[in-house]
Amino acid sequence: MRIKLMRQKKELRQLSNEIIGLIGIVVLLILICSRVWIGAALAIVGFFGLLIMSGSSQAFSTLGTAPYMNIDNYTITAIPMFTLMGMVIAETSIGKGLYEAAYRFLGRKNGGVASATVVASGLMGAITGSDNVSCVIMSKLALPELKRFKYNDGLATASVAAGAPLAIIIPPSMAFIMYGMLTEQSVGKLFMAGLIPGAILVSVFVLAISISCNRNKTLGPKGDKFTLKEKMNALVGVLPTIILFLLVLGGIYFGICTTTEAGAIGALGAIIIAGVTKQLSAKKMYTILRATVVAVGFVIFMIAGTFIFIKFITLSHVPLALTELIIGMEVNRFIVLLAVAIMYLVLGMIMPHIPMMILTVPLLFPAMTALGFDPIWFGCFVVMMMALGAISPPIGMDVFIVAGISKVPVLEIYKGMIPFLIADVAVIILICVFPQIVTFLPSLM
Amino acid sequence: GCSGGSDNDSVESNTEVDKDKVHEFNVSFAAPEAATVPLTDVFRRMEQTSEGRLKFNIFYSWSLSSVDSVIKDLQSGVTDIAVVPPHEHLNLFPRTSLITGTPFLGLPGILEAGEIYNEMLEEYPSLKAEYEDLELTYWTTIFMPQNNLFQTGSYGELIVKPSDLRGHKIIGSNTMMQKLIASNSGAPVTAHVTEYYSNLEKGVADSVVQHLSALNAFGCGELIKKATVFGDSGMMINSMALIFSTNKWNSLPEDLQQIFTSEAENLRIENAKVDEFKIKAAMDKLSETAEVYTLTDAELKEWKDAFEPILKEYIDQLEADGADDAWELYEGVIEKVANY
Amino acid sequence: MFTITLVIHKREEKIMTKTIKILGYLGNFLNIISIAALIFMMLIVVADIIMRTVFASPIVGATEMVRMAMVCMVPTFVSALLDGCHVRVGILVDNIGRKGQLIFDTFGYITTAIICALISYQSYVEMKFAINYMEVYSMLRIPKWPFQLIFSISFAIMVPAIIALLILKFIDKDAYKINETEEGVEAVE
Ligand code: NA
Ligand code: NA
Repeated sequence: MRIKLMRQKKELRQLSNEIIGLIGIVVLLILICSRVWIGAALAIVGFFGLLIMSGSSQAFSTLGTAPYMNIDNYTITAIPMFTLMGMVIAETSIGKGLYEAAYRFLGRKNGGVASATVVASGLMGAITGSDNVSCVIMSKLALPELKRFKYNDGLATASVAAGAPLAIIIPPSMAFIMYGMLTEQSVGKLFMAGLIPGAILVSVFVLAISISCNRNKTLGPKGDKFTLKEKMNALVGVLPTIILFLLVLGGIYFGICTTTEAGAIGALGAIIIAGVTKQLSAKKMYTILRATVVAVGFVIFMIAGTFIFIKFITLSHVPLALTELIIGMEVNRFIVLLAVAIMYLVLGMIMPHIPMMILTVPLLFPAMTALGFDPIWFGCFVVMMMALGAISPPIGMDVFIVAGISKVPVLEIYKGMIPFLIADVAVIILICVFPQIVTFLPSLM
Repeated sequence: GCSGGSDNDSVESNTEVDKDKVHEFNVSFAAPEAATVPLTDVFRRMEQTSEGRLKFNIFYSWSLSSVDSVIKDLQSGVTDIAVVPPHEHLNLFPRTSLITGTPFLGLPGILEAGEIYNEMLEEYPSLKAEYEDLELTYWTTIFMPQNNLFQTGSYGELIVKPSDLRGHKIIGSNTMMQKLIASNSGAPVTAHVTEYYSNLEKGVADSVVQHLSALNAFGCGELIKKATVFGDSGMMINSMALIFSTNKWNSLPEDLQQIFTSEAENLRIENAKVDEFKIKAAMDKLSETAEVYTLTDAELKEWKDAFEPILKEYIDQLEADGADDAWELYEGVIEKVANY
Repeated sequence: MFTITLVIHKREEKIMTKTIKILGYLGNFLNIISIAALIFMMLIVVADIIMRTVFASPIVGATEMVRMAMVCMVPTFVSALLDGCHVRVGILVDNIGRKGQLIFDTFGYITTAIICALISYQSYVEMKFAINYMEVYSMLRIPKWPFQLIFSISFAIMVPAIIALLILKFIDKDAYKINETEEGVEAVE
């Protein structure tokens, strides 16, 4: 009797933490949609949530530790370096050259330049392991060019944001490394698993762009006609980008530098190329550097808030409870998979990929493999869901980053995002129906 | 401390009235769930022993705390119990990490390292004082498997002598270890554990000083082609201290505190036994696919000699920084190792 | 709350614009430090790669230097605020009229200012801990507290910046005329 009573008390208390967590999520959504700065909204909800749930000592201490420790951190230094590289490319004619060529070759096709952007995002994904980093670079590189060719703001920003999560699907990818660590799967196989889905995603995005541009000609207006000679001349302009890309990619794949360090090589390389081709005045250099640090400042503020919020949501047990709820369902395995997908969409709104994996994968993995899902395949599925979460409404971090840099309203980006979201979901369904798409390459290893 | 909302009334909790009260703990582990089975088992057992009065919410893989924030998280009560690697906080635990983070100390094995450390704790109060000065409550220490040197084979021959380190790019988080590598013309590489795989696979680093279980946990096992084993002691044996937030500890009634106290040694021993078994199996498995070489005593001595000046400089620096019994501690542990 | 709007006159508007200008200058000064940190970071990483791959002797403590440089970039979020770079979504409040928006913004700005003040203070507390325990970057043995101080000060500067921006909202009759998503302060540029 006594034990039973105790249990009830215990469950009540457990429940209340989770309810505080859920209320916290709702309040966060309301704050964010009421024009509170996102970093601030995360910090506010995280702090007051901890205050109510755990107590003042925990809440105040977290304000002092979580933001600082996640910024005095080696891994995030990839952000300023890759941002600088992106800024140099964007502000000099390095990027212009690339886009001029894309325009002359693909500009006649509706949405051709936007398609080129998605392909470029895919290549960027092979350099970086973080969607946020890729997002910052591509925003800086592509958006001014797409504007120059009179592409619709919504389509332009959406094609940049949609391309960004390719960075976690196409290797190298921090998300796959984390999954491999948590589930003791081969990271090498997981990297291989991401390749084909990543490539399919790029092609389907290109398809989505061309369909929507054909339906609405104003989205991506048809460009001028160029002779073969003019086209060939434009290829010279692509050279700096190719050199830069080979420099960074070569650095990573020949083991000269880590993905974190690659940004520094890229940034210096871009500065040197721009300097040699006489495109860098002192004034322009200052503009580039200032724009870089301000963009970094905005990311830092988001990081600070995010990690306060993570402490709160972790202690609230919401991710754990959702996971347990799903494991407990006794239904068809594809319904379980659907529930997992929905869970990642919800959690994806509020949490970065790595903590989300740590809190959910260890519990989900045994259950999902017991249901007969291939361990490598499931890893790819999880990463693709996270990639989708980063661009889906109401909160998609990559969409927010593009909004911050472009100052295009978030709602307009989401409108442009619709075809990409449909395409993304279609590819995820495809890998569910034909899991071999994912498992084929790893099985060769 | 009132995490989990369970102990807002810590003042009364030592009285008989609160016999039914559930004491809920947020526990912070460094490793993933699969790698902490013996630890988790002991916590689950304590839940049973206490008939449900103890409840542990375990957070794996630093999902609640982090190696950098764990001390403050314990002090503020964000986490109530945590594993703390003292050798990663050299300024806070200069003395403890002298025992658990010094290369070539010669600690005989995982289990034995724990026994020697316990004796040291008894004899040198300055060791435990490191925890008390931080207003933390020490519970027990578990020792990790032996660190050794692992190569991917992407560069050079098997490393046997310190001079073989030349030209190698080696991941090794330990400051003293990095100095040893550098003084032999090798290149120490700093990398976060989650980056080990990429760095070793791509050749940013060609070697790593770690214990094999950790390398396996991070998926790097498949990349290892050569291994240099530094005898039974390995290069060094690191530890993880299990620490309470002091408020939380004080809020426990005596009988529950007793459960913890009586499990302290079991925790250490059971973990060591599982780890010893696992590391042996892992090394055996590795020797099927990689060249595994165990150094002779003469070769081992060469490493110790090469390390001597670095060690001396390090301990002198510790004393200069205020840990005035550092040499005494070092000699104390060396004596225990010799007499073991 | 709304009586404030009536009381503020041109003179106050000038003062607020001036405040933001001063903050802007301060921000630009901090940006120079950040820019130096950024360049330093890039050069040290490249130098480390070259030393490691070509000469097999990497720069001792390069990663620690990079981390320090990262912290030196923190103050730039003040400039990001004044430039209107911090992302905001107004789906819920875009169409509720000036008064309603002012109420929401007042709430949002003030809670943000409070949370920034608290983060600043708590970072200062952590800095004192770091001084007491002589926390250093382990390879270079450089103390950590100056970097925590930078962090704390950066959040402290956010507070007057946010309040000045809020007061400007009350003064500026056109603040909500367009369906705004950002609020760059042109005066600074
Ligand atoms: Na990638
Ligand atoms: Na989303």
